[in-house]
Amino acid sequence: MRLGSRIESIGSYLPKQIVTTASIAAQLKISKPLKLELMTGIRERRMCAAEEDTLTLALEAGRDCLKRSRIAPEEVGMILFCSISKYVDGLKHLYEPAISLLLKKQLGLHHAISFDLSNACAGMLTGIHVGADFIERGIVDYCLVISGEYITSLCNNAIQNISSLLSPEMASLTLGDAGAAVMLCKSEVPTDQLLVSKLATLEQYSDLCIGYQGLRREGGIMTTKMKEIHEASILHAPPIMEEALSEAGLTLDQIDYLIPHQTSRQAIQAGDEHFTLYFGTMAKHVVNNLEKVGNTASTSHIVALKQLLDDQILKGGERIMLLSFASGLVIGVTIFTLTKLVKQYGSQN
Amino acid sequence: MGARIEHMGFANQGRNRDYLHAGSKAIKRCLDLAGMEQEQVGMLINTGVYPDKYIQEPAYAALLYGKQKKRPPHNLYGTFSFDLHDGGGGAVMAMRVISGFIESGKIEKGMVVAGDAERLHGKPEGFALSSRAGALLLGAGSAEEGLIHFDHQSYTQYAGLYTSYTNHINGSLKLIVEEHNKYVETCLNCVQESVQKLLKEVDMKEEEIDLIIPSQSPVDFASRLGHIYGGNKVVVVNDKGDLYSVGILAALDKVLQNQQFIHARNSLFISVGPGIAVDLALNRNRIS
Repeated sequence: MRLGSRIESIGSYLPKQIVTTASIAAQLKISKPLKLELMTGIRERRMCAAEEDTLTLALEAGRDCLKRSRIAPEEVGMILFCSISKYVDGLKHLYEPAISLLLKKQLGLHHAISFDLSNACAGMLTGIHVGADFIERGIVDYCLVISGEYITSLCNNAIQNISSLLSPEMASLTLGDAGAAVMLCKSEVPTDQLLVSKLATLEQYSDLCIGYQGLRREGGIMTTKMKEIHEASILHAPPIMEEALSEAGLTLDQIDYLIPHQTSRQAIQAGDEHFTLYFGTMAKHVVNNLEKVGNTASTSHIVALKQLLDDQILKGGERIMLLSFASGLVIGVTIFTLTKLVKQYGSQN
Repeated sequence: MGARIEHMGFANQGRNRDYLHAGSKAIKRCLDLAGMEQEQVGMLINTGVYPDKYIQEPAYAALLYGKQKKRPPHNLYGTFSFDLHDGGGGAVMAMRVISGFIESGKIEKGMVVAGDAERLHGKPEGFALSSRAGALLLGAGSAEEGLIHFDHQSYTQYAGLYTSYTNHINGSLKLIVEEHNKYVETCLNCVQESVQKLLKEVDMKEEEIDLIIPSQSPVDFASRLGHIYGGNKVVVVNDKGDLYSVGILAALDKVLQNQQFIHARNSLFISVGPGIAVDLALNRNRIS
């Protein structure tokens, strides 16, 4: 299936403030010292300053994306805001109006259809899935998929609540703040195209990870059954990956870069081993950018992709697979090629 | 070819007054009426604004579907679900998204579910949310029949007229809802302008619209819309504002029950909410 759309531009934003994993581990009230950095592969992550929040993260990422795009703001036909967190003015969680509408106004996307989508860490992949459908049907020419995750409040609350290594809030210690944005446009060239977008919700696992607002403490709280959600993810991902690869007429070893959801080094390695066993082969490169940014929820794939572009690692026409694992349980696979964007970033390859 | 409205299910919230109970029951009723299994629905979109316990993840759609009976192991990957939020809910935009995926041939059936948590910690006095939840099943229509045209307009200059957010006050989470006294009137003005644009786009006259199925919020909006377009044309279920996210589905349910919908050639769905966002959907029935 050829979706007839491509990624035209990518933007990201990381707050300036750096918080090390060592400093987080040092604040925990547990009896044994925790080798958190070793376990997760995260050395540091970014954290919002007092004047930053979900909206400002998304706004900065959107501006970065528009700056690198050849599309003028008034040409953008759609904006989809895809974040889990919806914090404005600090830690006020906004229900109405939709944040997409505020971004539309501030980014000058005067003619854009706007709405918010929420699908946990698969939010941006869901936005790409929906935006591509509108482009493919000729409803809009350009769609901005955008997110801002101000989620370090979950980490701060977990530091206060964790009293043992078995705490359901342990996964919150991996989180970092970031913004990301992707501009989609039409494409008829297979070497620069979204080849497959496939997402499934395995709702029988919907209660394995729950995030909610703290009633007594500002910000969010997230409880995760880490072992169960990890096992379900790597058990059910291969058939969905297989179906997506088959639709694209590809095998896993023809994927140049596999970007899984960035949760922890151990989880990525375990997934890698399981997929190798299942498929008898593996993608050429598996991307891990956890060390400096941690788990940035719905923005994680795009932040990692942007890093590959910034570092001029990608070659034109290479095949990239984004693999999403999100609370729900949502498993998503997006396969695409990038050519024009790679050239734009000045890759020498 | 877009989508057509096939079935609806409604439920009230149980003893816990939670959306999880009512929403999942509404889905089940809708599936039962359609004689379908849950895995036959390709896409499920939740459009409730206020979830139980202020849950932020997973998408509430996954929790609602997770309350249904367990899927057979051979069809674990049949449904994709997520939450969508547009001003005042998003049921009409969700109908538009599903209609598009049906048109693209990616799914055969899609479902929109809407409702809010009746009981919410720190809710302001006088801000009531209904105990109802609704589910709407969409299937394939044709170029001449079903949901044939959609439109979306937003009036960002009025974004500050209605805001709702949670904040911690004196160490406790509170929901704060701020509505400007010009909000309803501005909604009505924005809707009229949007309707005129749509009529021009589809080359229709106002008189050709037989039925208007509007949001049931803000307070008095639907009744006042009746003063503009005709009281016999505009569906009012209860526009005290508490049928918030589910309002437009409740209005559709009313005209499905009394058969006004099937006898109307052209029905116009009008969703309005904070932003100000206006979503319109034109449904056409073949009347012999």
